[in-house]
This record gives sequence, C-alpha cells and structure tokens, in this order.
Amino acid sequence: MTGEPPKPSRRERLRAQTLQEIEDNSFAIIDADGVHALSIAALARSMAMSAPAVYRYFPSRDALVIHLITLSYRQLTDAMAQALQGSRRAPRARIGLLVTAYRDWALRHRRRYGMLFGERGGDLPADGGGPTPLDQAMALLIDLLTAVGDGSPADGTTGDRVLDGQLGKWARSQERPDTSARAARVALMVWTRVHGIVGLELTGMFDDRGIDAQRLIDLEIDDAVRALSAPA
Amino acid sequence: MPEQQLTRRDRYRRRTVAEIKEAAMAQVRSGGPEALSLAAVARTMAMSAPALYRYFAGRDELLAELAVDAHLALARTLEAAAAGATTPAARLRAVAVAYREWALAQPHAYRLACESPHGCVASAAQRSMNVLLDIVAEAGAPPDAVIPAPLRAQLHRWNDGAGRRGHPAGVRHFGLVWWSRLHGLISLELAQHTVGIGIDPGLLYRSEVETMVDSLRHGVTAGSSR
Repeated sequence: MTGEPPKPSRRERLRAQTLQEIEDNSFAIIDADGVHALSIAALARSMAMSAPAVYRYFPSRDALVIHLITLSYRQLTDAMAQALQGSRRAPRARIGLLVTAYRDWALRHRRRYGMLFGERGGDLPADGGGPTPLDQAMALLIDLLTAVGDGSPADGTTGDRVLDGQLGKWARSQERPDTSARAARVALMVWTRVHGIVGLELTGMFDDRGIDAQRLIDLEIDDAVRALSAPA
Repeated sequence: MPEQQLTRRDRYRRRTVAEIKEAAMAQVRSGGPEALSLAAVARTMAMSAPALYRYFAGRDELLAELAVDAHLALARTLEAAAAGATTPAARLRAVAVAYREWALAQPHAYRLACESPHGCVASAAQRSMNVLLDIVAEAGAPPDAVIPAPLRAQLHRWNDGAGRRGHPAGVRHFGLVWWSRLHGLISLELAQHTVGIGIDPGLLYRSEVETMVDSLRHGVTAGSSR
C-alpha cells in the first residue's frame, strides 16, 4: 500500500462492516453445506436482511461466489506463505512445509477446498483463466524446486515439445521466465499429485483403509523431486 | 435371484427401485450430486414423495447407491480396457486412457463416485483398484523395503476384498499412488484448472502416465532424493 489512506466516513465504515458480515455468513453456509447451498435468499435470511439489500453489495450470486473464491484462494495462499516464514531449512524440507500447509487448510476448510477445486462442474462460475492468488503459492513452489534442482545435470525439457511450450508460457505468467520446462512440470506434478491424495482423503476413502495420507504425500514429493534430475 | 422366482410384489419393487435410480442418475448427470432432489424424482415418476421414501430412506441413501453403481460401471470399463491389452505397460496405458475417457464422458457421475463422501464405499471402489493391483502385480511388485515402515504396516493391513489374495505393500502402494495421480489430474481437469493455466490436460495426463510406465519398470519408490 502507498501512503496513509484517508479516514473512512461513517457510511464507508458501515458498508465495510456489512460486507464483512456478508462474507462471514456466506462462509458459514458454505462450511456447513457446500457452496451449492449458498443463494442470495438464504444469505439474506441468515443475516436478517432483505435480499434487495444484499444485492446492493453484490449484483448477483455469481459475483458473490467469485468474491468468496478469491478470498478463499488468498486464505490458502497466506497459510502456505506463513508456513515458510522464517524457515531456514533445506529447499526439500520447505516444499514439505508448503504442502503440509496446503493439506491442513484443505482438511480444516473442506467445503471451501471443494469450492476451489471440485464442484466446478455444476453451477459455479469459472475463474476465467485469469491469475488467481494461488499463483503466488505456485511461484514459491517453483522457486524451491529450482533450488532443489540446481546443479542437476539433466536437461530442462520434459520430452514433449508442445507441453514444454505451454509450461514455458505458464512459468512466464508466474513471473518466473527462467524456469525450465522440467521444473515447471514438476511443480504441476506436485500440485496434481497432492490434490489427488487430499481429494481422496476428503471423501473418506483412506479412512476405511487406515492409510495415512501425509506419508503418501511425502513419498510423492520425493518421487516428483527425483523427476527433476531423471533423464528426459 | 432370477426375476421369475420372485413374487409379483418383489418384481414390482425391484423395477420401481431401478426406475427411481435411473431418474435420479439422470438428474445427477445433468446437475451434479448437489442437484438431486427426491421431490423432483418423485414428480418425474408420477409418484408421491412419501411413496418414494418407502424405497429409499433419504437422499443420502439414494446417492450412496448411485455411487456404487457408478464405481461398478467404471470398474467394468477398466476391466475391459485391461483385457484388451497384452503387456503390463500396454495395460497400464489402456486403463489410464479408459479411466480419463469415462470421467470426461460423465463428469458428474465421476464426481459422485470419487469426489463426494457418498462415493466412499470401500467395496465398490476396490473393484477398480483391483484392476490396477493386478497389472502392477503382473509387472513385478516394486520392492516393499523402500516404503517407510509405518506406511508399510498400514498397507499390509489393508483388505483387498473378500476372496482376494493379499498383495504385497509395494503393489498396494503403487496402486494407490496410481489412482491418486490420475484422480488429481482428472479432478483439476474437470474443474477447468488445467485449461485455466494454459496447459493441455491431455498432454499433462499422458506425461504422468508415461512416468508411471517408467516407474512400473523401475519401482515407484526406488532410490531416495534425500
């Protein structure tokens, strides 16, 4: 932020307060039943407000949901960044901290996690392909993987030139233009693998089998990190 | 039991249950598990809602049954794909391709089976898992020794289902990892995340499948990066 913001008027303060209440009540509905249960009418009821009054803050349910998705991404990304703060451990260990923070957030906010990464097939608006706050977390992951892979004799390609091109473009959009396609591929690999395990864990699929998801994740990260230096 | 040995009443009941499930699945296919409403199912069947409740105690029970059906349909698809290929590597690829095609063709059924708590029916999911486990076992089990002891013990305790031989921990680990990797990619593809960042999900999927074909040869947990 730049400079001292001007003192908000009473009207602005009230508006900010109501906005905060809308966010809190929306998250309460989502956390209890999932985002599909969130409607402007249900929200208004839970706040003892009229629906038209809510519409003065958000022109549509989609606009509200997009706002909540952005907030949730930010909460997730903040949790991940915080896990790394002040850590002087080796890059591989810091990848572990980052991923553990991701999983912990997902387990604590399972419905919000579902809103971000599942439930998209139904009535949810798409992100629109624009940058999300999650990109900041991916950039952290890319930096750590680049540090792990430093000095590796392997060339930086994945063996698939079309995919290399797309990965290069993605890395540039993360403001990491010097990232090899290989490192970008491994960053995505870590994400898709961790998401797969956490997703199955959230359904309860590991409970019956008595499998500790964190241990599966550790081995998966080790395996992905090895792919940094494996021959293409 | 074959139809003709059932009483008239049981036959009627069986047909009604099938019809309810069909109508409910049509709703899930078009709007996802969240869209299922028992009242709407009753309406399409020209039935009263209370009458419908004589067949299913509630929405959750109906969704759980639909999830089992979806798991079994997926398992049959994977079994056919595995049977159509001759080497473990070719089977691995064929099953992976069939898994993705099935999910993309009916994304909501996939979500019900693999992304909702309703789909968490161990015995139903196990049948697909057994397709994977058999391929891994045929390829030659990756060594157990490289899996950390606590996880190895958990994998040992895992039940493969009635009448199945117990697979070694290395095979089960590979099977689980295989499933979670494919699931992670498909789940993010269905939610438009992969396309959203400008990556062709098909290429990413193929690249992960080839990684798995390689580790099937070398053992997925072989070596250590630490």
